[in-house]
Order: sequence, then structure tokens, then C-alpha cells
Amino acid sequence: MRIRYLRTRLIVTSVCLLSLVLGAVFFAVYTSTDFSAERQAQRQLEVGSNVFRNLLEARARELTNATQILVADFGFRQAVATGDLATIRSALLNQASRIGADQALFFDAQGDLRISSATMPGSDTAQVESLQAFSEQALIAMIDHRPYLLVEAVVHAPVPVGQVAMAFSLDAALAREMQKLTGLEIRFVSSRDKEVMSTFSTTPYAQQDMSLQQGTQRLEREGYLTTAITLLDQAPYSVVAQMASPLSDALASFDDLKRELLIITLIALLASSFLAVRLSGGLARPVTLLAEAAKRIGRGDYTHKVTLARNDELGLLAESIDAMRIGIAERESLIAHNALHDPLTGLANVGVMRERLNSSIVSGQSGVLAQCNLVTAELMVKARGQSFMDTLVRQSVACLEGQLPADSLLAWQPGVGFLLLLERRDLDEAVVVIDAMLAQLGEKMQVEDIKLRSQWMAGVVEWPLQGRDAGELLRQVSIALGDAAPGPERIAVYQAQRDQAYQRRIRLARDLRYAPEYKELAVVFQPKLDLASGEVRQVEALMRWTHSELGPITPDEFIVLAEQTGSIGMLTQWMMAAVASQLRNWIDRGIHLQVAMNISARDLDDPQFPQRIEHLLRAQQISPEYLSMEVTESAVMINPERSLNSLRVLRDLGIALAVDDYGTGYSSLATLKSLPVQDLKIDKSFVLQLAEGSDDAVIVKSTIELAHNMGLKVIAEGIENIDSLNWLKERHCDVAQGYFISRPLAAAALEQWLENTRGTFGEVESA
Amino acid sequence: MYQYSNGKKMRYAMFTVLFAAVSLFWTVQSNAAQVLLTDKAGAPLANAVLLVDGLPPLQSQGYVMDQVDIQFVPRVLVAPVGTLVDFPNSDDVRHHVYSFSSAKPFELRLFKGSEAPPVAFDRAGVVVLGCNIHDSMIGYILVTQSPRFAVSDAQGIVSLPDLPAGNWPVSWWHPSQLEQPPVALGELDLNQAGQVLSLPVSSAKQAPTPVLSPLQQRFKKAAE
Repeated sequence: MRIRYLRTRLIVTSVCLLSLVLGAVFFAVYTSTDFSAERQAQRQLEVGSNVFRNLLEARARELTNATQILVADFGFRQAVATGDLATIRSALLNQASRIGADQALFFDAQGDLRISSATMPGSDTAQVESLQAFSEQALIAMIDHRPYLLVEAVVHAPVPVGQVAMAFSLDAALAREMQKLTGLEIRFVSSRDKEVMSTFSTTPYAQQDMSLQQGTQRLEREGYLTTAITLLDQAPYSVVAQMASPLSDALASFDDLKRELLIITLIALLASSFLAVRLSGGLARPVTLLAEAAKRIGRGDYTHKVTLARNDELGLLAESIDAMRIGIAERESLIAHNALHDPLTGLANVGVMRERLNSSIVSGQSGVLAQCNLVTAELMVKARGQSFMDTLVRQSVACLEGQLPADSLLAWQPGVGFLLLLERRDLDEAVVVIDAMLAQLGEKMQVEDIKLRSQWMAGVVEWPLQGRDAGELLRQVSIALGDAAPGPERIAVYQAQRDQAYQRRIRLARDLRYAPEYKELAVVFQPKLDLASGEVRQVEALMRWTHSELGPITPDEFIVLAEQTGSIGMLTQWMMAAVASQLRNWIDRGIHLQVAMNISARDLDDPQFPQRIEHLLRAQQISPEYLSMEVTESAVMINPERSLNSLRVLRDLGIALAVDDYGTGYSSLATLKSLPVQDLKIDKSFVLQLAEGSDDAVIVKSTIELAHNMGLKVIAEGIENIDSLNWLKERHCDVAQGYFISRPLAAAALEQWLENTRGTFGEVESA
Repeated sequence: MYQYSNGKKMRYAMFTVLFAAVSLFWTVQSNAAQVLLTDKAGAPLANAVLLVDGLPPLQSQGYVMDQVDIQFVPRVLVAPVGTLVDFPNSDDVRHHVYSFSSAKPFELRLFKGSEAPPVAFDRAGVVVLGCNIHDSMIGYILVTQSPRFAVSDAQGIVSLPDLPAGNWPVSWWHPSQLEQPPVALGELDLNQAGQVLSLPVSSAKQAPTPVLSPLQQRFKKAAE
């Protein structure tokens, strides 16, 4: 864990630092005490050796005085002067024992040793082997292989007549005495030719290999600082007094100090470690808390308030994190709402729909999905603007309030429209619900300053019958909606085979735009027979599209597509050019035919359209009465105002106008009356099954009469037999058009047909 | 050092020339033979004794070994065999004069003034005198058979009055000889003016005071 690591590192760093400092202090004190101990020992050694030297001198002075007393004695002088050796010996021994000398010597005036108090066995006199002055009065002598402190005095009688020497052995006893006074271990080492002859020491083990060199040495695990004083150095003899100051004594005085220091150091280390743990905890704990809080927020848990009761930066950080927590929570709920809801209507969006649909499918339920949209949504946006459209949609949603089954799900997706999910319902049931909904939506409503009825259509798909995937079902329902048409077929149910048609339509819609470029379009003309005269004076120009791969495409298919996809304007343009060109050709050759051409709602909606027609006619120098235009009721109804304007302009130009497909829309007679048209073209669906007494015949007959009453000529299309033709002729229908007369023909074929059938239909009638 | 010794030699030489002139003058005035005694180094030697044999003795005088300022005065006294020597004490402290010399061992215990009786010296030889109280007091009495004798003064001059002309056996003695008898020099004519006798003696003054005791000197020699 990172936080733990930080904390550990804080602790380790501070404790290490403290240990280092305390260790350094401890080490410094330790070494300085060691150094101090050594220095103390050194000083003791120096002082001790000075004391030793002084003691030796003092002893020598003392002994010299005692010896002087002897040699000053008149009797002794007399004995010496008279060479009374026996007396001299007795006096010497007497004095030697009195002053504690280990050896007393008498030399005659010639310096020859005559008497010695202690002798080696088998020898008359002692052997003085070496002698050297140590101080003014003290001499060091080697007598019979033993070291001595020696003092001498000359016997004057009154001239020198002899000499007395008193010698004191440099032995263990002396060493011990010296030790008491100097506090040093003392050792006398006498050697001959560097070979130790005797050693007298205060320590039992000092007889071993203590080096005579000065310095620090260890013996028996005890440290000593040693120094040596050479008492006698006369080849081959030497006598050395070695002094050793035990370091342990000096060190012992520091032991308490060191122990205390160690305890203090340990306590300090412990206390500071504890403090470091506390401090780092005080830093790391809030950091851990904040990290946990941040993790909680990261997990999406925004319920816990983040607080630290501190006034420092960490407290500030906690406040910032808490502010962040609140901000994130607010934004997340907004995002979540937006993710599931359409911002315009507040309804669920397609995502929610998809979700619900999927879960429903997974749980094995069946149901119906419907897509519902405004028929003229696109036009309405263009005409009124998006905000108008939005208001319309919002009001539509409001009017649906409480009208739908409680277990249904209604969603709105811009560009798609309403989506309605009806679970556990079969198709029939669902269609009833959807129809009721469409009716409700079609109610008259006040949007901004306009009162209107909107037309809605719906596509329906059944699941799991048609699909088990939400995406697939949404696609299918969209196709179904595409199949719906205003009027009775405003609800279209998706069927599988329609899907292929849809794919074809998509391809055609795409390719249609390139059709003029690839010269796949062609114009054909269908003759219109004037029933009164039996002549053909008019033709209807129809477009043919021969797709390079799919072959001929029927106008029913591609015109609808062009209208839906917006390509219709382009097609009209092409058609216009083709018709104008053909008209020019015919006029030039003396063929006078009025060519009728279909225009769509989009053309009417385009204010420039009449001008373009005018320009074209003028450019080709064609009189407007050669041209007529057919427009459907529903096209006009999409935007009646603007359409009427365009129509009036066209009419004023002198172009004949006809209402096409009359009877399929909802146009009222009032509307019809306001249109500046001369002809009424009855939809072929009425004409195809004309038989005496049928409903269609009634409609057609009354329509003809109505039109005539309104001063309109009537054109009937879809005439496929002579009976229909005759029936219409009898009912005074003005113009007839249909396969029975002629199928649509290319220009050349038409010219040929016109040649062949001149006057034929008059005969037919009469026949 | 060379300069110094050179200067010293110069001084001795000058001294000798002066002595010759004076002695010449003295010989003319009185009938005393005067000889300059020097040590090995040529420095005037005081307290040295010249003895002349083969002549009749001069009439004897009183022989006194006085003690002045805790010193024997004279330092060296020559006395013919058989004479009495007085030991007056001119100091206001007592002296304890003694001698352990084989020629005349004696002892004059703690006396003052002229309390001490005269001491008779019957045998020829050197008698070294000491004082038991004052070790620094050393005196010498040379008891001799020789008829004529004299002790050199501080200038090293020995004056032998009424010395007949001619060669006479001469011998000498000095305290450094200790108890050795006088040393013969052979027959000499001491009347010759400006005579200088060099004796094989190291003048105590000239020789450095020995720092080492005899015993030490011995070992020092042995070590060398």
C-alpha cells in the first residue's frame, strides 16, 4: 500500500536520522572518553615516572646521608686510615643493617673492593659488574647479576683514604613500595647482552612478555600504557624500570558516564521514534482517509461527506475533495438523466428503449414496438423552424399524458419520433392502442399562434416474431414507418419481405441522384384522348428510369423515393429540360401537342420554381399553352399557402394546371375551388373497375358532374378497355388516358402512333 | 681556547722574565737562592717543598701549625725530625686536630686558643692533618731529615737563604704526593739566578674538580 509506504518511509527516515545523530554523539563521547582515559593514563604514567625518579633520588639522598654519617665517624675513619679491615667490616655491616642496605661495599684508596657485606657462595667479595650514575647521588649498579641502587661516600682522613658504597636491591619489595606511591605497576628488568637476567615486578603476570617498548599494550586482556626508564645502560648490562598504567582504572571512571550516556541515548531514540511514529501517523492518517474518500468517490459513492477537523493544508484538501464530491454527484445525476432521457420532452430516449426492449426479450416476453412520427415533420421544420416543431412535440407529449397504458414505455428520439413499447400484447391489441394514440396526436391544437391538426403515422413491429434484437427491431420498425402512408394506412406493420424492398429502395435512392448523369433517364409520352373530338391534342410526359443493373424502375417506386429523399427537384429540373427540348423539336416540325408534366410538393414549395419555368420557356421560345402541369391534392395540402402562390404564378404565365390523382386525398371542395386549375384528373383507382352501378362509377359520375359544374374539365386515367372509354364518353368526361388508348411511348413512337391512329378513336366510338 | 692558552703561556713567560730580573736584584741584596716552581703546565706551584741535603742545618726556629679561618696555616709545614710543633687555635671555634698518618698518629681533642700541647714529630714522613669537626681543614707536616728546606709561596717561589754555592742534592714534595716521601731531583745549583723547576704535579687549581667519585672514575675507566 502506498500510504503505508509513505508513512513507513517517514518513520524510517526520521528514526534513521535520529539514530545517526545520537549514534554520532554516542560515538564522539565514547571515543573522547577513551581518548581521555588514555590521556589520563598517559598523564598518570608521566607523573608516576617523575615520582619514581624523584623517589629513587630521594631514597638515594637519604641513603647517602646515612652513608655519610658512617664515613664521618671518627672511629670508622680511624679504622679506614689504619687499614683495620675487621673493624671496617663490622662497622659496614652495622650501618648496612641500620639503614637496610642489601649490600655494603668498602673500597680502599686505590679503588679496590676490599669488603662486601653480601657475597655469592664461594667468593670473598661481591663482583661489581657495572655502575652508572643515575642522578647526582644515586648510582645504579649491577652486582653479582643483580641490579642495585647504590650510594657512595668517600672516607676522608682527612684526605680520601677509602670509599664506602651502600647498595639497595631493585627488587619486588622496592617495586611494590614504588607502586604504592606512584600508583603504577613497576617492573625492574635487568639484562645482559639483551638477555633478561632477572625481573622484579609488582604484577604476577608482568614477568611474561611485556615489551619494553613504550606505548599501549594489552596483557591478560587488560590494557596498559607503559613507559620505561633506562636506569643503567653499560654494555653488556642494562637495567630498565618499566612502568605500566592500567587503562582499566582510567576507563572505569568513564564507565558510569558511558552507561548513563547509553541510557540517555536509548531513551532519546525511543522517545524520538515514538514521536516520529506519532507525527508520521498524524500526517499519514488523514492522507489515508482522504485517499479512501477519493476511492469512494471513484467508485461512485457520493454519500459520505469528506471532512478533516484540521486547519492546515490537509483540511483545505479535504474541503476541496468534498466540494468535488458534491459537484461530481450533481453532474453525474444530470448526465445519468440525460443519458436516459430526451432533454426536449423529458421522455425516455432510444437508449432506454433499447435497454428495456433487450431485457424484455431476454426475459422471454413478447410484445409490440411502434415508431410514430409526424408525416410532414421535415417540411414543418423548414416552414416554421425548429422551436415551433419542439413546441409541437412538447404539446403532443402533454396531450398523451394519461392516455397510454400504464405498463407501456413511451420514448422520444429526435429524428426518429415517438417509440412506444407495449409488452405482453398481441398485434391486434397493440394496433388499437397505437391508433388511439395517433388519433389523440391528430387532435387540433394551438401551437404558438397557429391552430393545427398534425398528421401522424406509425410503424409497428412484433417481437419476438420479427426479431430478437433491439437494434434489429428498431430498424424494422423504422422500415414499417416508411411504409405507412397518410390515411387508412397510417399504421404499417413490418413484414419480413418488405425488408428486401427497403434495401432496394435505399439503393435506388442512392443511385437516383446519379441517373441523369448516367443517362439512365428517359421521357415517354402517353397520349390523352379528347373524347369529344376523338383527337389527341395532349400528352402526359412520364419519366422512365432504366437502372443499369436493376433494369427498369417504375415511376411509382422511384418518384416516391425521390420525393422522400429530396431528389424530386432535380428530377423535375431534368424533366423540364427534356420536355422543353422535345416541345421545341415538335413545334419546329409542325407537331402541336400540349405536354403535361407532374410537379411535386417540393417544386411548389420552391418560390423560384415558377420563375425557372418561365425562363426555360422563354429560352426555348415556347408558348406557355404548350405546357400543362399536374399536381396532386396532397402536394398542395402540405403547404397550401405557398403552393397556391406558386400555382397562381404558373397560371398567370398561361400554363394549364390540373389536379392529379383526385379522390385519394382529403381535399375539400372548398380547397379545390380555391385552386387555380382548369382540369381535374380522376385517380385511376376509380377508373380501373368502372362498371355500371358500382361505387366507383357513382363517384366518377358525380365527380364529372361536380367538376363540370365548377367549370373544370375532367380527365380520367387508367382506361384499359373500351367499356370504360365508352362509359366515360357517355358521361361527358372530357379527356381519357390509359393503356387502352396507348401505353406511354417514346417521342418517335408517339409520332408514329399519332400518324397511325389519326381519326381511329372516332371510329371506335362510332363502331 | 687556543687564544686563551696562548695568552696564558705568554703570561707565564712574562712572569718568568720578571722573576729573573727580581731574583737577580735579590741575589745582589741578600744571600738567598730563589727558585720558581711550576707544575707540569708551567704554572707557578704553591705549597711545594724543596729539600736540599748535604749541608749543615740553619738554627732551628719555632714550628707552628696555626688554625685561622678554619684552615690550617700554613698549609704545608716542614719540620726537622724531633721538633715540637705548636697547634694554636686562632679561631673562636674549637678544633679537633688529628692525624692517622703512620709517621705520627695523634689527636688533639676539642681545644681552643693555645690549650693544645705541642706535638713532637720523631719520625720522618708525611703527617696529614685533619680536623674531626671541619672536614675541609687539611694540613700537611713534612717531617724531614734534610737540613735545608723551603715551601713555595703563592707565586711558586721558593727561597732558600744562605745556600752555599755549588751543586747540592735536591728533592721535592707536594701535598699531591700524599704520604709519599720527597722525590729526589739530583744535584742542582739552586743559586743560579732565575732558575725554574718544573715539577710533575698537576696543580689542584688547574686540574678540574673531579665530578666522579674514585669508584665511578674506576668504572668509567673500565667502560672506556
